[in-house]
Amino acid sequence: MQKEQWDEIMAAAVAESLESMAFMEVFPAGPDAAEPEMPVWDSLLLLEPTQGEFRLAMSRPLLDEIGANIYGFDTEITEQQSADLLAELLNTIVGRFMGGIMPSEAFKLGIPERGRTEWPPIDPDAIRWHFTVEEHSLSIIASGAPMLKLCQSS
Amino acid sequence: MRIMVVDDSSCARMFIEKCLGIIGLDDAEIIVAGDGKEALDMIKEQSLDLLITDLSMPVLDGESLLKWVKGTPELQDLPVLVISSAGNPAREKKLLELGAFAVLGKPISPVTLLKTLEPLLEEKED
Repeated sequence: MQKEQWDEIMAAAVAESLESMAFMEVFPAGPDAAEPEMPVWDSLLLLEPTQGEFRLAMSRPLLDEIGANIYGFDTEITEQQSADLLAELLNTIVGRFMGGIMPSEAFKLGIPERGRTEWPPIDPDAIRWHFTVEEHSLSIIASGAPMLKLCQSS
Repeated sequence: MRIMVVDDSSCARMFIEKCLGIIGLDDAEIIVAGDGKEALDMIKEQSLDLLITDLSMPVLDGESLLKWVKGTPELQDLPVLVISSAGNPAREKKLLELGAFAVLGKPISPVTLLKTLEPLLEEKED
């Protein structure tokens, strides 16, 4: 499978997830767009049949907006609910993405983990996808040589 | 109708509850559990009409919970709907063979949920 197909599958996964869960429209922002500044982020490992890591990063205001759309505007959202929301989004997006690139193979994901530190350095070989949601930026980063081998650059 | 929703994410549980409300099950009694083990501990005390479970959870995952339910004589007729982010045809086939009533991929929508639960709801009405 080529990089362009991965791009299309990831764009669809992000759009379907955010539109279904939070009724928010998503626009691809191109490979040169910057990652969100001081992001909140989560990490999710792909355990089987190959190994890799996905990270979802977004600005805090975007996470709060998504939260308001899901939990309700008049609800005070707790830190735990925000953390659950970020994890659920990452899990859903990665699940749809993996289902798209491996439609006939079973895969196993880990459990999303909250990024406790500042945004860590990214493997130079990682694939980055950037999106704009309600004027905020959202990024997904896929890394891990075994998984990235599945994607042939064209 | 008594429905147990099992998911370690409060966000996912709330989303499922919202979808159940939209499809007309807003008067259903919803019991929530944060993982499969908690569900098993609670399930014995409940008389349920439907169990909705996530697949990836800490402590006891959804597949193990499904096996446990289907292997317990007094629970084996309980319909189990699995909602998964790691769903694909191979996994879905396995879960259906283990006795799942249906398997849905995340994110679920009220339309898909209604279509899936329709036979069960009709059966309840009869």
